[in-house]
Amino acid sequence: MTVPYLDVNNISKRFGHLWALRDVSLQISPGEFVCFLGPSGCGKTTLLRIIAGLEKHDSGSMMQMGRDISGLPPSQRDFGIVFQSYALFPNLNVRDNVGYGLQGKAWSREKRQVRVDELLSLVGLSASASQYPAQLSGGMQQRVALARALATSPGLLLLDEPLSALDARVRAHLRTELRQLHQRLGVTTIMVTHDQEEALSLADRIVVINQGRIEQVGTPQEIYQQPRSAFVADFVGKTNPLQVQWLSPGRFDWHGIELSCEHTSPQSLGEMFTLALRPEDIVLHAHDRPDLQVSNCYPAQVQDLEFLGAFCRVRVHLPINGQSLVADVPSAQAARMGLTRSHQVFVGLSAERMQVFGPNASVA
Amino acid sequence: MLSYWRQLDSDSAWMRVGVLLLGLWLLVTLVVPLGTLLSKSFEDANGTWVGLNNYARYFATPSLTDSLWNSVWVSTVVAGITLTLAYVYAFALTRSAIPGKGVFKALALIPILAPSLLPAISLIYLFGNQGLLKDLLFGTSIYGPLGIVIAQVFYCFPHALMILVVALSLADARHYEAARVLGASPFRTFMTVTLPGSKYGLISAGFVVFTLAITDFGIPKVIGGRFNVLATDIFKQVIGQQNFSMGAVVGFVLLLPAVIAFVADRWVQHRQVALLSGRSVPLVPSQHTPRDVGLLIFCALVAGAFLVILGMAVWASFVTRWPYNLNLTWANYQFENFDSEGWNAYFNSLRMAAWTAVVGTLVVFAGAFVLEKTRGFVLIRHATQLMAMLSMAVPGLVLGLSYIFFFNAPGHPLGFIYGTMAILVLNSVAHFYTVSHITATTALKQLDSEFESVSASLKISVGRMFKRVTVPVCLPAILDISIYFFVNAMTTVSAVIFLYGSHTKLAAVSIVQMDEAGSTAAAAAMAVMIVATSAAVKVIHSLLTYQLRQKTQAWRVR
Repeated sequence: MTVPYLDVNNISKRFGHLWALRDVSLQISPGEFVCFLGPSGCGKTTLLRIIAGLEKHDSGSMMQMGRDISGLPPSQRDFGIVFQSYALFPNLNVRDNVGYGLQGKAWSREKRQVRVDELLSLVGLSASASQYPAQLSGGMQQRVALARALATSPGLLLLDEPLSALDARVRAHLRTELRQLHQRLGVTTIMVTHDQEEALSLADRIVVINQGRIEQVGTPQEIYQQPRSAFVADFVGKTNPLQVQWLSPGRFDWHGIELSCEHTSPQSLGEMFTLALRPEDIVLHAHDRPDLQVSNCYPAQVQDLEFLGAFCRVRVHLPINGQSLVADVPSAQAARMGLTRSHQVFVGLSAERMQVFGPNASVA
Repeated sequence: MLSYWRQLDSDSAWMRVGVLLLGLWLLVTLVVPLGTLLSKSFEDANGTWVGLNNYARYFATPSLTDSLWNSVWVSTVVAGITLTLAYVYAFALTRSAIPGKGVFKALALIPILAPSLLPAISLIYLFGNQGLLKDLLFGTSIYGPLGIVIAQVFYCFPHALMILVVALSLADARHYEAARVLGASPFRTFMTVTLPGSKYGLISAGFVVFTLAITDFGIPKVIGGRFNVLATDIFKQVIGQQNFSMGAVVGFVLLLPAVIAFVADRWVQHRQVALLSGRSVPLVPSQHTPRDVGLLIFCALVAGAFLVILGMAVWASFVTRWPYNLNLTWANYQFENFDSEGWNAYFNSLRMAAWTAVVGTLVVFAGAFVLEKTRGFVLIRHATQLMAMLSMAVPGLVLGLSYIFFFNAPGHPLGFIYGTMAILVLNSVAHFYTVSHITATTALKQLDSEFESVSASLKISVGRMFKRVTVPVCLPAILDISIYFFVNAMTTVSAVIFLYGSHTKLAAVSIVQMDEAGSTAAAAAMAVMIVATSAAVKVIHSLLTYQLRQKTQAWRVR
């Protein structure tokens, strides 16, 4: 990694006796798009506000391009910010909102005009320049807020759940635009979100935060495919947490049936573990055991079917040990198999995709 | 200490200086004078500490303790009657389909524009010794508790009505639908849905009316006759007998019920949880002929009584010599013939009201802004907030009296303002601080809390944002505050009666004096001048607000 653009060191913050953040450290490279992902109340917004200087941390330090910004007020830091509420000034039109920060000697009237026009075309709002925020849709308002934050060409763009207040279609559309904008401008960006889909599709790297601590930092692929904790496995994507006991290397006992898995490190007999398996890694077979060589294959009964368009989410019950699993089956396959409730099937649990999390690991 | 200020950026530092200045302002114009009053009540005429002697003497003097009892029971009766009338009136305005709601509402608010002296003077013309309708009383005298109660109901009615209209218009139609589906009778629906829903409004209005009634000075002064109450006692002790220590004691006795009412009201408001969620469905009153006709008659009677009271004062002000010569004349408006200051008193009032509006609006709005938007500084902000709320609990007479003690003390650095326009303005701003402060704070709370963060990130100073965004967005509230200050400063008598100087006599004060001297018609004329002025200003305010709304409706979402 090159010299980090933003270097966050051991930041802690307490609200009363509650730890909002505990020893959070993080390096962000220039031009990176980073998402803080976590459930509400995990401290992700607090971390963003501390980076902006809007909240004071109790201990730790922060460097932005080698400059110690820990004690600086927001007005002396270099960032632009967009809030979930947009925070547009209602009495100023789009043009004046965008040009709000372009004040002082450096900005003559002409220069300002040119810059505002440039920004408006960047976010595709040239036609709405003289309208007021109340006359715009939510998506357009958020674009104005974005243009306003970018106006002074800040080195760091902070986005606090910018898409949460929008409806699903606009959200998806704006997500794409945000990604393109970032690629075009290359401004280092931090976005706070509780929406894992948003984080996976936008971020270069995702920072998963839970209860004031960083659970994992990694690319979207790493986060999804190699979650480092049961929490990450469950929070990012869907997962089946299986409470198991260790039998021998690569073999676990799951409520009376034996599962094999590629995780082979030696443990002590009877120790408790959590196996995490994604729904798409559970395979349903229509008839009797097609191949006895396949391990982890057991008879099951369909309990419930949920049609979700491209695939079906199927809840199956294993009579052998009384447990239930959730599997994602492509819709075409579900139709071919003629899946209905009470249908008898066989489930195969992919041994190589199984993640093993340490003793006492709990899934939130 | 220095390093503490150094780690702040200039904006935060200025905001904190602002909070400190506001705190200092409230200390000097409100808290310290009250403290002086308190300490005065423990001293004798020579300034020697006498402990609780004055209080002991107070409670040993039957004529004084009688007033305490009189004040309490009269105010309780006033509160009971006002609440009943205002509740039905508010119900008609919000929950029925009667025609002319706008007119009825406007008529009910008339008393706010008048000094409390006006209904008292009108009642004298209606039911006094030479009254028009004297026979209706069957020999009972209007001078005394009867007159006080009727006049104070008139004076307090709009205050109760405004609170109750708000309480009753917050209704969720779904509760009424549920009650109907479950087969509840209209009476049961009223008892189980309407009344509980407006319970807090009723309690709050009750306290407000009680406080207004017990602290009012003008009405008992004009129509009380020999019936003594606390407010007139203070006046007699201080102006009549120059017994300042006893005046201070009575002041504190008067402060007590007002403070109790204030604390109780705060407590009730704290308990009030939001009854309405964002998802509730507004109630649209349906037509119900028998009920609506009944309510219409009721409203017409109440509004009619108001018009009679106002009209009587206007008429009396033009009558040549009541009741012998009923020819109309302008003679009663030649104030020079009745009072040494003549028309000057009226112009003094105008100037005082205008200054109070300007100074009060500036201090209140800028003060509310720094209090609301400063981060950190919690203890000092809370203390200042408390002082801003305290002003509501202080009766005007008590505040005026405490100003005498504070500013007139020998060697006081601000002593030079005693007897000038400045002390009247300071006193009026402090007296009417709380309601304006609440208006400003409410308006500011509606702004997005992230405006400051956005401005800071764009390196725009708080001052610039205040000018460019905060003030334009809050302009309607700012207009409301200034009109509130103006009208109240124009009509008040209690706070200023101790403070006017030889060149700053006010219109309301000259009403009291002309009435005392027997020039009741001239007193009525001056009261009419005050009403006309308040009404004119109110009309201008409405026009301005309307224009403003037109001009800004592009961005103002209602």
